[in-house]
Amino acid sequence: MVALRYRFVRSNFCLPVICAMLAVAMQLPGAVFAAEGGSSPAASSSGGISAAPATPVADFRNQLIGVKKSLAEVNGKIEERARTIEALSKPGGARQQVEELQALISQTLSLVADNGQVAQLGAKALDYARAKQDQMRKDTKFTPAERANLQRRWDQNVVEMTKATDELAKAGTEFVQLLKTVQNRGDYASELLEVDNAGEMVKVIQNLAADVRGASAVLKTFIQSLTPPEA
Amino acid sequence: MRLTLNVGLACAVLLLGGCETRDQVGFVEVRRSVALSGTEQLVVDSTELRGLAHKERMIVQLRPGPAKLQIKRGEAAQDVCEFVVRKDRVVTVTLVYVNSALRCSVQG
Repeated sequence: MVALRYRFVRSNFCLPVICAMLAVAMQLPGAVFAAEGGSSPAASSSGGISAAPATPVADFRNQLIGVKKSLAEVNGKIEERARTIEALSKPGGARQQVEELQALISQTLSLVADNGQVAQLGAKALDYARAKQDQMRKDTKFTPAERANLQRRWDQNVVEMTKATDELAKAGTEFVQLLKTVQNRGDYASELLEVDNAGEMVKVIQNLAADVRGASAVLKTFIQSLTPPEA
Repeated sequence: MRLTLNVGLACAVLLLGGCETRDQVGFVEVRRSVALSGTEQLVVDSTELRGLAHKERMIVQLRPGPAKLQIKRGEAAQDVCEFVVRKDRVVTVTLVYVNSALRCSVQG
């Protein structure tokens, strides 16, 4: 399971390093079971039914838990930024604040973008849950009571996952709007600076604090409502 | 052998420590006010906008630089427009029909 990291790290340089580390780890004494044809510790330790298999639904649930945590951290920083912006007095600092704010919102948007890891995993999990829902409807192997139980669980899963993916999409729309506002205000402030109106520029940036606070409130609501599908 | 592995591992850890740089990204908001047929598929650079058949907008993250929106009909791909993605910024691309040809307006 790949843990979702707050900082969206995916550099071309890091990947070979991670691969090299994994390759090295495979050769360490603790990993000998794989080379000797033995079973993995997890498989060999349980005599009966093994732990729940990793499914797209479980992966998506874990990712969403990570997203919730990351968004809470980002929200703290956004609130902090709003306070800093309100206290601005110099044009140079104002420009820098806008750039840092854009970077923060960009990080948040990366988490919820449609081609981001979470959204793609969400789509995969939803497809999987719908296929299971369909499978349970056609099932002839289980008793009617068992079938009904499994159907009910998968129906519930589909509802919860649809809600979670919709919320991710909604959050994406909200943050695109905020990023547009910040970049437009930043562009306007830069134009003001170019025509030598530093005082007005600072005022424009200071007024951004209200929008940023609004976004923070939206983010709080989103974090509260984001419910990972049940196990 | 073990020494070599340990040295390798230590080097990898040190190198990984220097990887805490966030990838540079920008965003494209693709808005669709036109209907797409089942065989038509929109593509931004190499990212297929599969969900755009069911919703009116999609948000895609890309590396900053020039980008291209294409429409694929089967194996044939046709360029619709080109635009620039800038770091930590969003560019909005709205698809419209002009004289029954698919065009886009770019804002950002």
